[in-house]
This record gives sequence, structure tokens and C-alpha cells, in this order.
Amino acid sequence: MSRREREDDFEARWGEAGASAAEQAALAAHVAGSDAAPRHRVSISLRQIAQRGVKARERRMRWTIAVAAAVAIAVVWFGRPLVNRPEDQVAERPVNEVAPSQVPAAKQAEPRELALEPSALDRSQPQVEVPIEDVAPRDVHRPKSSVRKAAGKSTIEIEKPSEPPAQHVLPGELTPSIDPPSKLSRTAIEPERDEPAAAPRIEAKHEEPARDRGPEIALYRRALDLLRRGEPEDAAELFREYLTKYPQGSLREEAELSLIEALAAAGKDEELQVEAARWLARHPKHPRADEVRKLLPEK
Amino acid sequence: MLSSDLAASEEPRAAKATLDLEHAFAAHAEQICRFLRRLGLGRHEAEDLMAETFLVAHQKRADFDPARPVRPWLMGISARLLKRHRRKMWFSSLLSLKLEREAASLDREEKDAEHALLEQEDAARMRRALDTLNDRKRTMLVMRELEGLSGEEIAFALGMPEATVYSALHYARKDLLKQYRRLLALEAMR
Repeated sequence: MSRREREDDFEARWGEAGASAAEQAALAAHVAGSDAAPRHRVSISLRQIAQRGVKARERRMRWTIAVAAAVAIAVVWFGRPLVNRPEDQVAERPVNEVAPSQVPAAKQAEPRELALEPSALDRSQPQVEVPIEDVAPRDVHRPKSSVRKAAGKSTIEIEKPSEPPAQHVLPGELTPSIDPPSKLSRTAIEPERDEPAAAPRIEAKHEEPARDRGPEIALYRRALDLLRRGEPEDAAELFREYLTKYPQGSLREEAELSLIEALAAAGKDEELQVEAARWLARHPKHPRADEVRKLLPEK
Repeated sequence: MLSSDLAASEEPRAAKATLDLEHAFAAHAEQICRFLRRLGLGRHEAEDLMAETFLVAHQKRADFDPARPVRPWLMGISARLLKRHRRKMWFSSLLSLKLEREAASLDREEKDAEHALLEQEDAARMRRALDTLNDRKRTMLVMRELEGLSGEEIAFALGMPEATVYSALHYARKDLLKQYRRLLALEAMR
């Protein structure tokens, strides 16, 4: 007897499973009782079922829209601080990059050759070379160039891409007495500044790109927290500490402005005027220059 | 009219329907309800699931092979829906949704009283033994012994090989007898 035939025979299949006659009878009684149960009258029509299906579909659609909207709101709301973190903004800017606002307009226009006023430069200074990386953002694609300050004239010469990156020194000119050229200040080539002629400042250091900016940012944040908490005097001290410790820090511009703000909040008018005047002299075309100018006493 | 209602409920998956749903509903709605009640559902729960079964049948009508019988196919759908329904009830009990649970238990009490009037003692014991089995074994036994489906039809309904059905049925029978004997022993101890 095949498997299918055994399955079709009630006694055979239950006997194979080990059921006694009494157990088989009990099962048969259960089957018979179940069959004899009153008929289940269906109280719902196919049309009602269809309407129920339409409602269920609408309900599902509403839920889907609600969940999608909730997810979108959550993503926008919780993702916002991740996108606008100040750390990210700082991290995006290389250490030795100069903020666009600090680069003079003439420099941003990239003139092929820029002649400076002879009076603006100290003729007695030796000729120096300043790699353009010190004054321009690294991510901007531009040909490598060098600035040469000769007596009475300063030029920026732009190399052709095919030329080797050798430094351009005119024949017969002296090589710079200041070692290494990377330590030169970007301020040496800002022609718009009305600083004393004898002071093309050669002060800043070319910081290593891999420098750990953690303490620098922490100091700035601490100062900013103090300012926000309403302790402008302590905040001003910390901003000064920051500017002293990190004269070429990534947040230098912010620190200078915050220092002015802190001094204004602390009511230190004299210091405020000194700082504001100094800042305005350096950044006359800054977008926030007008705000700072208002802090100065009217003449 | 009816077809347009159903068409509005779900997009048709095939241009030509291969299943006459109205005819299937008229012929099998009661049987599906009875099948679901034999699997332990109350009257209202069984009707709800039967309605859902026909909605799913409408959605899947393009997959239906007209050469095959409709009843096992509908029973297969309702067995799968029952599994989902039990999971839902379990979550409801987990979340303490008391109203739903109370309605379901009232439904079942009504069914038990109905059975008690009709069944002999042995048959009632066999029903209780059947209630203790897990869903898979219980579904297969109900399909085979109470609904009278063949092994081939059960295999089609549950989407498994026929040989697997036979071996699973064999073990389900053994389990049922074991439970029946346990209930008998418990009654003898009282």
C-alpha cells in the first residue's frame, strides 16, 4: 500500500500513528460532532468586504504618509546640529588658510602683476620670497607664484605650469636672509594696509597642517561660553589668551570680533576703542566693519 | 458594481482575472468560517479573517491557477492570515490592550458553550487535545481530518512538498494522541 493510499484510509493512518480503537472512535466522534455543529451564517457580503478593503487601504496610506512625514521631520531636526557644527566648519578650513575677507580685493582678483606703491615698502629690507600658499586657500586651484619685493617695487610673478617649482630670484639679487620662507607672514604682501612703511610684519609661523587643534578650539569655546553666560570680562581675558597663543589660529578672526564684543559687554570703553580701532585698521572692508565702527566714539 | 468596488480597493495585478470571486464567496465563505472556528477562533474573529481572506484572494487572483481547486487555496490564505492574527493578538496582550483580548475571550467562551452542548465526553477531550497542539500541526490535522483535504491539496494550500505533508501529518497525529492520553491521565487522577 502506497503512502497516499495509507493516508486515504482512516484506520490505516491512525493505526500507523499508534491510535487504539477507542482513540480512533473519540476522534471520529469529534469529527462527527464538529460536522453536526450549526452552520455558520455569514453576516457579511462581498460588497461590504470590498468597502472594508478600500477603507483599510486609505488607512494604510494615511499611516504611511504620517510615518514618512515624522521620519522627514526627525531627520531634519536631529540632523541639523550635525550639519552646522562649528567643529566641522573649522575642520573644513586648513590651518594656514586666510579667510577670504582678509585677502585684499586686489589679491582676490589675481592680477598677473601687481605693482605696489614704493612708499609702502621698506627699501632697506632684503628681498624675500613668499610662497603663495601662505596667503591663499590651498583648495583653490591656481598656479604657484611667488612675490618678490625689490627696492621700490613689489611684484607677484606667476609660474607657468610646466616650469619646475624653483623659486624665482632675479640674477644678482640677494637671497632672503630670513630662513625658512614658509615662516613669513602673509601680511608682507597685503598692499592695501596702511601700516608703517618699516613694518611689513614677518611674525607669523607657518603651522603644520597636522597640528592638533583640539586645545585651540577648546580655548575658544570656553571663552565663547563665558561670553554667552554673561561673564564678558573673563571671556575677554580668554580671547586675549587665545590670540596670544594662536596668532595664526583658525578662529583668529572670530576671536578678534568676540573680544571686541566681550569688551563692549564688559563696559571697558578704552580697551574696546583700542581693539576696535586696531581691528578696523586691519579689516576696513569686513562685512561686520560697520557694526564695529558704531562702537567707536563719534569724532 | 462589485467588481468596481474591489478594483478600487487594490490595483488589479493582471488585466484578466482568473478567479470568479463572487462564485467562490458564495460557495466557500461559510466553509472558511468553519475552518477558522475549528482552528480555535470565535465567531466574530472568524468572520473578520474570512473577509480578509477574500480581500487577499482578490489581490492575488492573478496568481491563482484555475486548474486547481479554490477551497484549499483559500484555506491556505486563511491559515497564513491566522498566523499573523495570532501574532497580532500576542502583541496586543503584550501591550495590555485589554479590550481586544476581552472581546476575543468572550467570543471563545461562547464557542466552548456551544460545543459543550453537542459533544460527547471523548470528543470534547479530543478537541481539547487538538487545542494544545501548535498552529502548524493543528492546521494540518484540521485540514486533513475535519475538512477532508487530501495530502496533495494540503501541500498546495500550505506551499510545501507532498511528502513533507505526509510526514508532518504523521508526527502531528502522534502528538495529538500523546496529548489525548495526557488529558485522560489527568482526568483519572482527579
